[in-house]
Parts: sequence; C-alpha cells; structure tokens
Amino acid sequence: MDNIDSNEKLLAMPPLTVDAEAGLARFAATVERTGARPATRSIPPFVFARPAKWLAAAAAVVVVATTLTLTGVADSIFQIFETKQFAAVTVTPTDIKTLSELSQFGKLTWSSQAEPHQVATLAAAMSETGLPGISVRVPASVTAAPKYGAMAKTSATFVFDAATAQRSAAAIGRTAPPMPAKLDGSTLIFSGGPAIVITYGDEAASGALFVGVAKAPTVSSDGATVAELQAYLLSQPSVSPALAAQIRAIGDPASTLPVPIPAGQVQAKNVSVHGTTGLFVGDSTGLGSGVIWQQNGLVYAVGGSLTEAEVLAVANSLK
Amino acid sequence: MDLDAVALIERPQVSRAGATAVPAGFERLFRAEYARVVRVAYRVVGDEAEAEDVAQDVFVSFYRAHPADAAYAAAWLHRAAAHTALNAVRSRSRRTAREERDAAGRDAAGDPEGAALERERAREVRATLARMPRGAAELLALRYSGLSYAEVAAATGTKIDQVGTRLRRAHDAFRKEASRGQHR
Repeated sequence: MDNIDSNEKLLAMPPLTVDAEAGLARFAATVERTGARPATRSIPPFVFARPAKWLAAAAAVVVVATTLTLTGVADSIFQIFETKQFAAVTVTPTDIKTLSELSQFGKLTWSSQAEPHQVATLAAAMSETGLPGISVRVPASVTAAPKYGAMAKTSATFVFDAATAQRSAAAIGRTAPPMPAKLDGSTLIFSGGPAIVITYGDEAASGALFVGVAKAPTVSSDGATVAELQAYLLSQPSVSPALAAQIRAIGDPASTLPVPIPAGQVQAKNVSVHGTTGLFVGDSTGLGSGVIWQQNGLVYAVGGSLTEAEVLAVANSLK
Repeated sequence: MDLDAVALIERPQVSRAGATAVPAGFERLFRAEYARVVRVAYRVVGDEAEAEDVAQDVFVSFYRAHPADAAYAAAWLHRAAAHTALNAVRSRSRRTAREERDAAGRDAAGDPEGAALERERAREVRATLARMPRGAAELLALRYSGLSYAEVAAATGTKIDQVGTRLRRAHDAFRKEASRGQHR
C-alpha cells in the first residue's frame, strides 16, 4: 500500500489544457501535406493483435469448433488433430466473445503456459526453441530493425464438466443441451509451440511485418468421439447456427485448423506458398494482410501492413 | 521547442484553415479523443509539446489504417499513445537538451522553483517508466492519464476485474525501478 501511495504522488497527472481544435488543424495540415488517405476498412485485427493472443483465440476455436475424427480406445490418449491446413471460418463479434470462454464447458488447466518473450538474436531463439532458423527478404517499405521473440511449448488440458455447462447456460438465461455421459469428465489435451516470431515495427506504426514459425498445434483425446463432440459443441446455445454450418462443412476435420475471420472486415482465400496451399487473409489495399501455411510439421505465418503481393513475396522468400 | 512555439500552442483560439480534407467522422473521433491521447502520452513523456507530437503520430497512423467508426477506435488510440510515448522515451537521446530549453522558457514565465520541482518529478517518472516492463508501464500511463478501469481494460485487452490486480503489480514494479534509479 505504501508503494501505491508514494507512486500516486509521483504519477499524479499535472494539470494540462489540451486544445483539440489546434490539434485538429495541425492534423488536417499534415493530411493535406502528406496526401494521407483515410482507411475505409480495418486492418485484420489479428495482424496487430499480439500473435500469441491470436493463437490462443484460434486454439479456443479449435476446441469448440473442430469436428474430430473417431478416436480409439477410451482411457488411452490419442492424437486426434494435427494442423496440416487451414480453413477460414467467418465469426461475428458475438461468436468470438462466447467461443473464447472455454470455461463454459468445463475446466481448462494449463500444464505449461509459456509466455512469448523477447530474445537478443535469432540464434538465441533457435537455441531456446529447438526450431530451425527463419529469414525473409524484407520489403523496402519496412524499415524497422527486427526483434526476435521465442515461446516454449505450451500445453493445456481441458476436462468437460456437465454441471459447469449447465451453470454457464443458466447464466445467460438458456438451457444447455444435456452433456452425454461419456463426454462428461473426458479430456482433451492441446499442444502448441514452441514458436519463434520475428517482428519489424509495431502496431502503432505503418511498415510493420511479422514472421513466425511454430510446431504445428495438436489436440489429443482420451476417447471422446467426433460424433459426440460435434453433436454436443455445435448444438450449444452460444454457437450460432451459421458458425456451426461452416464448421460442419470443413472437409478434413482431423487436420484442418479453422481460422476465425471477423465477419465483413476481411477476406480469406487459398493461395500457393512454397508449393503448398496456404490461407491468405486480408485485403489488397495494402492496409494489412497475412498468410499462414504448414510444411513438414511446422506452421509458418507472415503478416503486416503490406499488400497481398508483398506479403506473398515475403512468404515465398522465407528460408 | 522555442518560445514562439510555446506561445502558439498556448494561444486558446487557433482556428482551422477553412474546410479540410479530413472526413467528418474522423473529425468527430479526433475531437472526442485527442485530449485523452495527449494526456496518455504526456503521462509518459512529461512534456506538452512532445505529447502533442506523439498524439499527432498516433492519429495519423490510425487515420491511414482504420475506419473512424471502428468500435475499437478509442481503445486503439489510448494504447498506441502509451506505446508510442514509451518508444519515444526509450529511444530519444536529444531529449535532455530540448527539455532544458523548454524548462528555461517555462521558468522564465514564472514560478521557477515550482517548475524545477515539476521537471524533476517528470524526469523521474519518465526514466522509471522507460526502465520497467513495457506492459506495466503502459498500464500506469493509461490509468494515471485519467482513464477509467473500463477504458484501461479495453485499451490493454484485459478483463476489467483484472485491472486492479495488474495495477498493483505495476505499482510494485514502478517502486522497485524508482528506488533502483535513486541508487544509481
């Protein structure tokens, strides 16, 4: 408490009168002088969100969304999902809010929750993660020096719990469909990383670029079957019928990671990267875009305030 | 910044030169958020003119990349103000000379003792924020610029009920760095 009191004195804001009209006049002059054009559409939020947060959100969608293949014998842990390709799944803000709350279906326990942190060099990131080094040809519009980030392997265990699901539904005034007895208490194990991320510039500046590589995320199960998971999760009141239909339409559910795409803001399409199929997300105006692909058990991502052509050139230059 | 520039900023009625190319929606956003963006930056850099420079950069970045009616506009601007201001204090070496010139101008205008104390306090806060972990420094800058818990939560992407805990940790980090600075 003493800390806070003495800090309060130091940090207390001195009086400051701000003239917004003068600021606006200066801003207008800058816009006219530089010819800056106003954006009409958003940069894909994932490009400037912290990559780790985005990956966490994607993982959350996998939990609820993945239509899993039949698994083997109960009481043994089988890998039932490995990211090999990606499919865009359009989500509304409501979907994002509800899907990110795994706790509504049971208990999520991080067995190792790694935080991404900055390291001095690419060599340090490689040594820490055991991943191969990556380098790209950086476009001229990106002038910032690279920063290197490393993240250790992250894993989490999710245990379905019927009572929790009922309470969560009741809290929003809905009745949850009954959780099948076999699902109640069953376990999913999520694994992601390690990962290396190289960033140039930051979210407050144009000319930002990030390049990442990670071990492909996987999901294992102790016995829940695809039929049970799909029937149960997609019938939840918090999963919109439109989202459920998109997920059911994914052709290869054991290896396709659904990538949440905010509705109406960005476009997604398949593109060719390094001779394989990647998922491109963004627009062609140069406001922001990204591409993600999988090769030899590793997931690669390139994104930034770049045009589609630029981001694909960077992706294809990756070594 | 020279004395003429100070006088220009302090003059209350600087009118806009006719119609601008800035869309009306963006003008509304600017008027609604500019003062708060300047205050967030000022809490970090401790200098009015530099805080306004930061705010201008932040608005230009937003203008180029985001629509004015984006739901996240205010949260983005607040966070970007803290982030950009911290970048400025961490990287700028010409600050000392400029600060001394600014300070001399203000001291000459009256209350030199008060101004000197304020300057020393601003220097200590700035140096401490620059050394401590970025996330904690951003949190303090946002909160102590006058933003509510809800606004801090929106800007940092955290739940509102976690803001208090994170602020307490940030205070601990601030205190630790501040005392470390005094012993240098």
